[in-house]
Amino acid sequence: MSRALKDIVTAYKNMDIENISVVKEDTSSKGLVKKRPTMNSIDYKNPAVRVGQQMRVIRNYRKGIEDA
Amino acid sequence: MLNSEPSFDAPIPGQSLVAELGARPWQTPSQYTTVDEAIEYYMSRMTTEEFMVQAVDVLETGVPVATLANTIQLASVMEGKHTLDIGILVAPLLMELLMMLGDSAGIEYKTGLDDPDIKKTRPTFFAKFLKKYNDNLASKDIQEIVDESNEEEEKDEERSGLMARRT
Repeated sequence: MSRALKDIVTAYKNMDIENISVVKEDTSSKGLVKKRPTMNSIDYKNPAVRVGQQMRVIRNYRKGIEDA
Repeated sequence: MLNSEPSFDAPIPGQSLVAELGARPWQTPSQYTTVDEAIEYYMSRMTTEEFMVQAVDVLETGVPVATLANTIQLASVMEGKHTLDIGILVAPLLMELLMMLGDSAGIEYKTGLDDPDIKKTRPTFFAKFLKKYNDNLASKDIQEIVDESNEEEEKDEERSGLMARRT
């Protein structure tokens, strides 16, 4: 296995996409002045997080295919 | 395996230095400078029917997903689409996309995530085993070992008959 390939495999394995925090909407109050979800819980400046989020969408789709 | 004939299918040493600096696509500023732009580029490219059919064909031939993803991102680096850093960052996504294509097509494919070197016997293991064997051999008297083996052979010969009593 070449070094570049090893790096990619390592990057894939280290992608902890299951534990990327998701901003969930607060459903306890429905008023107009309810607290909006903040985006601070996700580090959007980290490119790995951005890639991880995209990966999670695709993985969920894959799970859907496997379950079907 | 050693080749008896020299291979000329390789670049001449220094060939990369004969072109003007900036003449190659990878020497110019890349087209997509952020991960988001690169993802968008790949998403639009990899979701075309033409690409999907070809990718599934390649996966079916036994090419691992990791190798294919690496090839795709390296080709884009060579074309000057993005930098190598962005390529490495985006590669896991490409792998996931390719696996999704494989799953959608219902084919069996190799992920390439298992390290093939892990099943190989380490040379250090051989060296360790050889040292233990030599130490063991040095501690024993050779005549004693020969006598032991002769005794065992004699016992085997005694029991070799069809009517030999089984123990």
